[in-house]
Amino acid sequence: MWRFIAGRAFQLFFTFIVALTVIFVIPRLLPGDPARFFIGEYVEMGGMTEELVNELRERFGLNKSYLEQFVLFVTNTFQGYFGVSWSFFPREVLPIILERLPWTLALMVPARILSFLLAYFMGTMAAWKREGKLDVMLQFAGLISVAFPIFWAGAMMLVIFSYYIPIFPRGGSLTPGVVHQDPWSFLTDAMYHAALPIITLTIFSFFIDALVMRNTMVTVLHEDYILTAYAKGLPERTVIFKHAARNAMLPLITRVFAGIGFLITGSIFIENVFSYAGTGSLMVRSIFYRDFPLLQGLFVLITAVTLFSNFIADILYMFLDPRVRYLRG
Amino acid sequence: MSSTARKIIGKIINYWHIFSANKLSVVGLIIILVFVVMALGAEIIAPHSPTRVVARRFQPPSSMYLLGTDDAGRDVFSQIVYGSRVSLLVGVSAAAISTLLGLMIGLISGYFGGIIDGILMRITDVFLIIPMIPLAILLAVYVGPSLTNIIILFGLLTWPGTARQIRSQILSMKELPFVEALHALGASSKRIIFFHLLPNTVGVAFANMIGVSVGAIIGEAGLSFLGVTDPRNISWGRILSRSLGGGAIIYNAWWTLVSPGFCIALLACGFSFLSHGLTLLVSPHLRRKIQ
Repeated sequence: MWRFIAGRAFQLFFTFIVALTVIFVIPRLLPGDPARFFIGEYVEMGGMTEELVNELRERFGLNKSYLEQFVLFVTNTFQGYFGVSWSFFPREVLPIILERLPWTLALMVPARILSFLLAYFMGTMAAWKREGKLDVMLQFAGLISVAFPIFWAGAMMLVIFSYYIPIFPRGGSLTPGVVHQDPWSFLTDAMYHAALPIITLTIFSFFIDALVMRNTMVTVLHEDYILTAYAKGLPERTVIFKHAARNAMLPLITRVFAGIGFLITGSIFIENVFSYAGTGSLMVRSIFYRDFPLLQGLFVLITAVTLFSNFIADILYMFLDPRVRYLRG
Repeated sequence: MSSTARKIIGKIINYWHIFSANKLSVVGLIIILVFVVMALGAEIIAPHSPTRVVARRFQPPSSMYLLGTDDAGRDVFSQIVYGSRVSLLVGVSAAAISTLLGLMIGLISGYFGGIIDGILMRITDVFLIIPMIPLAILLAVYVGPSLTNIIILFGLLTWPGTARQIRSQILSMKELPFVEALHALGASSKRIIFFHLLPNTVGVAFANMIGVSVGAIIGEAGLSFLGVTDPRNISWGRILSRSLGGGAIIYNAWWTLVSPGFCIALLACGFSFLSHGLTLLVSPHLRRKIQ
């Protein structure tokens, strides 16, 4: 068992290093020297002299060999140092990201939980009444939901629920101009603004979650112990929810974690639709300003979170399913 | 007509019957064909120039401007027509690159096994879990936002799924008696791979290819929406992001928001529906189960 965990941990670490290598190598593969790539635009704008460029080159370590640069890049990354942001100069990258992170988490965590609960219930119901109205609808919706871009869905939600039926705010993360005296009013205001983005994200991960639950449920309902439960004379509701659904929950639980990467990508788009001040809108801001250190920092963070949640998903699966545990020794 | 030609035509008709029995896939095919016609005949179909200002901004749909005008007074319908070119081009070419890579890697990995398989599969694992859209965003900013770059990017980032499936198919196939017989007859590895194993993986490869094109179409729209693609290309994601940025919501210009999103979803649905039917076509096992 520990060997399996260690193996997975090593594999993810290796993947992380490869991701770092890719973002280290690509800018250096491009024509022209990296110094020009990173700071060249400012030279062209006439803001910097050659001496200043040379000094910056030295400060960024761009005069060292590629190997030394790479080692420096990796050690810096592991120490949480991603350099100095250009568009927030002279602030460092990490504090800027950490400042925005709670806002993104405030969207993703509720969306993940809501989607899980809804999917657990609806998936169970769909499998219970197989080929019934709910089941057919869920399957069809699942098939077409992958075709709808999330940013479009978000824009539609915004148009419908804050303009035609004005029950939600028109984007933003807090009411502008309002100074919150107590934490309670701050919290309610933040929740009011986060509601619509959370609903959109929830709907988006719901369909896949629900189909995962439904499909496992269908298999579980054919198991012998379900027949036994019926034979004992237990009421159908008890069999479905207490015996079947609990056992069918495993893949859904692992999906909760494995789907976090999907949610991060979703929130990049959603935050921009709702002009919500989280890490996703920070990413687009750094694209706009060509703020490479900030962009790289964000990517490294997203990769780390995605890999880590995949790791958790694997481990959870092993702990929750004794069959997997025995199989892998 | 020679007998072989008749045989081939007979086979095609037979396949068509199987394919058309699935209504969903026929609908998918029709949707795709409509967009293909739109893309090929954009010059004839589009009533106005997609880039020229033809009216006041945010004019509602009328007989003159079928889908109204955008934030700069350009005809939305004409932009949608031209935009189909970008989406189809990205979808089909990225899927072709990705499928070719996936096929090659899957075939080599599955057939030769051992160290080659180990190395190739570790690389595949890496690409499977790196978050694709954020990486695509970062790389597109680095290498520049041309359409070719976007196509190559999506092609290079999406092959692992195909490679995995092809590999597992080859693994089960290479133990079959016919491969053993080929070895006994002295057939070379190259011959076995290209003439005997490859034709049997076409079905899986095709189904994956469609999946990748759906991903690439939505991915391109997403990158355009975030402003990472070439602003000179008229694409559906770009229309949407420009209208949003240009105040479409405040001006109540729903037509600039609904139409591009609807087209992206419709084309992606078309591909998904088509793949539904094609999976049945290439998998006799599944077909029998349903019939």
